[in-house]
Amino acid sequence: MAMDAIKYREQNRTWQKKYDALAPKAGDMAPDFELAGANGGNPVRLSSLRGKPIALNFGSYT
Amino acid sequence: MSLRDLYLKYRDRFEFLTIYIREAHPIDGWWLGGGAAGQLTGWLLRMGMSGRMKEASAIKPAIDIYDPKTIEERQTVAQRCENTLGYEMTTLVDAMDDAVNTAYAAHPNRLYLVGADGRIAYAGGLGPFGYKPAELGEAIEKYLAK
Repeated sequence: MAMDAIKYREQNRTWQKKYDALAPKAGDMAPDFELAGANGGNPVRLSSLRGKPIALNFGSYT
Repeated sequence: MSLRDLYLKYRDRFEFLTIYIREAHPIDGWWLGGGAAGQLTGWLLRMGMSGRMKEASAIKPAIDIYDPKTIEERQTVAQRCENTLGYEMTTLVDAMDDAVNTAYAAHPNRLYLVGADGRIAYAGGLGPFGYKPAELGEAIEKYLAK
């Protein structure tokens, strides 16, 4: 279990190091996306909300 | 100030979206465990997420989740997350290719503010330690003052 934790932690850190450098910065256009809701329906396209500021909260349950 | 505080304060003027992305600490991944060490680590992470000790104690992230392997499983966990954590804001679910998570380098958690013009007004740091709702609140105030 401890070895798995170390392995996954290193995988996460490698991923973060790679993609954090590419993350959008202040002033950049926000990458557009369209995603469905938690029930599988009600898709939302980010760009369709243009005209109103949006707070984006990324996360999971654990 | 917690994210929920911000939502309640600014929801009339800002859209708030939670994007559920792949699990940070699933049983079959970087699991924190259910023991004392796992509980303590989880509490410390929640402190970073909520910014307040009392709220951190009230937030109960799951410790019994396997990383979803299908979009249906991901939606089920997202619904449970939405109901339990009670952010109240709209939850969207990232696709299984993790494209949105990758585009925003969001894993394990991250905050952004997108202006009405579609440009990033605030790019929060990488969670858990860079996840700072209070900082988002400052960015919102700064945005409103423009």
